[in-house]
Amino acid sequence: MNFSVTKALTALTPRKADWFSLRYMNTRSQICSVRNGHPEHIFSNLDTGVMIEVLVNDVFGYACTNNLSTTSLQAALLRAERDALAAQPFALNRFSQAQRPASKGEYKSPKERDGNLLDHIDLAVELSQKLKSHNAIVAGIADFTLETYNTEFVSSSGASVFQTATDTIVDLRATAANATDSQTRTLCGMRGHSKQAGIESFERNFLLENAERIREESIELLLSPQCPEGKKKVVIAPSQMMLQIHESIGHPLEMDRILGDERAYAGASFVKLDDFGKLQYGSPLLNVTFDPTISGEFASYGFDDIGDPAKKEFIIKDGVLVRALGGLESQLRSGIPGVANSRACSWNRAPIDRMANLNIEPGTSNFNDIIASIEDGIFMECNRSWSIDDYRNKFQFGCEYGKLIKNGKLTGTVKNPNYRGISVPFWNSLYMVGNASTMGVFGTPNCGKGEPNQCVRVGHASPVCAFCDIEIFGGL
Amino acid sequence: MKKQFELLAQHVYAQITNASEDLILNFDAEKSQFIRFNHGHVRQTGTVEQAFITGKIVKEGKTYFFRCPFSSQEETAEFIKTEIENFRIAHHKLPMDPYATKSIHSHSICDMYPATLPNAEDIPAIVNRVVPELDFVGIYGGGTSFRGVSFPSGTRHWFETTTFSLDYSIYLANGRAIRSTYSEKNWNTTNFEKQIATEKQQISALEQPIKKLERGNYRCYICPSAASELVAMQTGNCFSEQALQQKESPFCKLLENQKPLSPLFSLSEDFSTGLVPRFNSIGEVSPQKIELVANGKFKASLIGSRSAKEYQKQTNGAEVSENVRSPVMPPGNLDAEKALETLGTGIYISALHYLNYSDVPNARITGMTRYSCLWVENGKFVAPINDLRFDDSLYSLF
Repeated sequence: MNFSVTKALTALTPRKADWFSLRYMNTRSQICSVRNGHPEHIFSNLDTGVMIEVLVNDVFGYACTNNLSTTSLQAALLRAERDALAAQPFALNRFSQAQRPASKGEYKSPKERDGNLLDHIDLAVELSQKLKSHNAIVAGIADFTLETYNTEFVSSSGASVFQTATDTIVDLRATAANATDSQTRTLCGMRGHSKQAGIESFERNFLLENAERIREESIELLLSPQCPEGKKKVVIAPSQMMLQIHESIGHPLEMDRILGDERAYAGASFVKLDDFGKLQYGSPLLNVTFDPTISGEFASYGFDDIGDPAKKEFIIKDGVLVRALGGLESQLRSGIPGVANSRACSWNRAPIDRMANLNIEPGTSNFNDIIASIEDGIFMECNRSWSIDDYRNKFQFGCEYGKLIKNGKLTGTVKNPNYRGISVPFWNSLYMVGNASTMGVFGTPNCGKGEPNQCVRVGHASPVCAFCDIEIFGGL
Repeated sequence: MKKQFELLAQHVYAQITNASEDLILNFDAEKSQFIRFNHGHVRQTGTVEQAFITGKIVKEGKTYFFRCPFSSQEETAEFIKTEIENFRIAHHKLPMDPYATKSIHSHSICDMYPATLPNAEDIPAIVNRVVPELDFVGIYGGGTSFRGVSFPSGTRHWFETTTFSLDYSIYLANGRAIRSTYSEKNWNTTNFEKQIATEKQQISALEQPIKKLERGNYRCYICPSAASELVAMQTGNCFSEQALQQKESPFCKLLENQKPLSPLFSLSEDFSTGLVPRFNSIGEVSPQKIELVANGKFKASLIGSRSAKEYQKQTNGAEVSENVRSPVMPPGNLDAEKALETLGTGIYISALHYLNYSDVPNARITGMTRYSCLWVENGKFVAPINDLRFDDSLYSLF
């Protein structure tokens, strides 16, 4: 199919709009899922469509379709104009073309090799067999995803942005069970091994080594005691830090939540507009950046979905909240500095404030020194359970795998390691931050928010971090 | 849309596939209007029109799925042809699928549920007129969704439903809120006005100072809106045959009679609501009602055709995911009007938030209370409570 979004733009005739744009997306994905050595789902997907946005008397309206004929697109344009006009007397905010910059540019994600995922099914079968290869294992699962998405954003004011990215997701999972319990271990939490890369991601030796470790650790967990209860020092691995950053820094700092747009669904935020520049969000060791420019991290891009050029910004500097996760519309509405994060999950949704890559900058401690400094504590890795209130304050998170720390050494394994906290006190209890050698870079395609719902890719990189006086507990 | 899908299916079976290829075609589409509100005003407004074809093809014991946009007949047929050619080329690389299932021949079903929606242009004005002084936030979503399935044998299923919902919260200056949804068969502005008027009367209870509750166990009345969140937690792995076999279901101990549920609790998969089609993505038709739990006892799992083959069971038309698609918890004998009196002293929970399993084998769930949860004394609302976290097992909750 040859579709030219530039030709489509010139072929359309607005009746009322002062400005309009087309955002075309074309996504090709392949998924291969194997359980216990047998294929579960071998899938090829093509998704194309166009989002049309109009600005009519300072109010935006949108309409989208995956019928790309000129007739269909023209009808969508008129629907968008109709809706923008109907909202005129009741619009919450007034916008201008300044919120849709006439940017020009390109972005291309890094990849070493193109390829066909169907050429790697044998590896997925081998991995799932390795994961299953013990009597205690009831499920050994290997999931691969390879996806390329191209986005073109053009507007009547001259915007012309082309972005193309290829990403990969690898999920390995083993579940061990006996008569009374079951324990699951994964590569790095649910779909955490997500990044922008080519077919080289499906690296045989690395994955086979990990499959063996995952299998053994799931059996080890089954036989391990419960995580103890009490207040302790907790050392959190990057595979859990990604979730901690996501839920208790990322979501509360999304400006549309602070402005109340999400109150009936995803929730609001404990953060107030006058907290910016003042709130001691975490200890002085906490430095958080929004950075969609990191090569290979899962949510990297050159421009957000309204054409705003992306750049690295400090969100929390030396523990102080300095900037919001708010795109150009939110920046106008709030008067607070933001970032290029107006993002849509696909062509069929309007952009809203989202995380992209939200990372903790490395500190100065190495892993051994962190563990050696702890007399009585616990090390936790890999998220498996998450829950937080609608203001993003009170959270309870669970991990797959825990190791007790006694007298400066990692000792016995414990199962069902969980912890609870409240966002700002928790981040202020951060007392050691690992150096660059402890960093882990993860991502997930499963960040949900928005009405109607949108599920987007996000990336989170973090060093190992240590917190004091954290409430921990185990299972029943 | 139905006609277009049928024509496409005829063309594909006649011109693209051959006798050795068993292809099931699925159609799904929506024409939807969405209007987001914040502070009683329009935050975002627009429409979504999309249609897709999903194919499942089985040949010589190997299974392959594909999905593509449904646009014009010619273009969509071309997409499908390309995917089938890709499958033929890759066929030798694909592993054998021991649980491959072929399409079946059954009688065609066609369920259509039309309804009257408001004009899209009128909705902002209606909402503005009904809630002028309220901090109203939420979304109107309305439109028609379509599902179809087609087999080479000529069986055709079709489902089409027109629905709307206005899902919203009304916030007070103190941050407390009433949570509600206006949804019925046909839009009726008078009914919406009445609903808002009733809800305005509840606001006074939320204006009282917050009562701070300490950690502990409390007697609770859980409203249907909150109870449905707890039921929704049972729609994933709980009744999946595969999850039960793999010990990944929170209800393994219920199945094995190690832990019971209350005899007051029952749950069914019940398609009489008309909200979702009775047929699954491979065209199997589920019974109108499947009892999953009856009076606290495990009655049935949901068995898809793949699980049926793997575990030598009989399928009951479950979707491949084996999720509960249309859960219905039947009412008991507690009269809604006597709920507070029956509660006596305790917590009235109207909404829960962000539930997740904290210990799957023991069906333990954590989550938060949200919105207008109230402290009740002697059957009377006293004050809103602070948001509370709970961590409890479905076995003790139900």
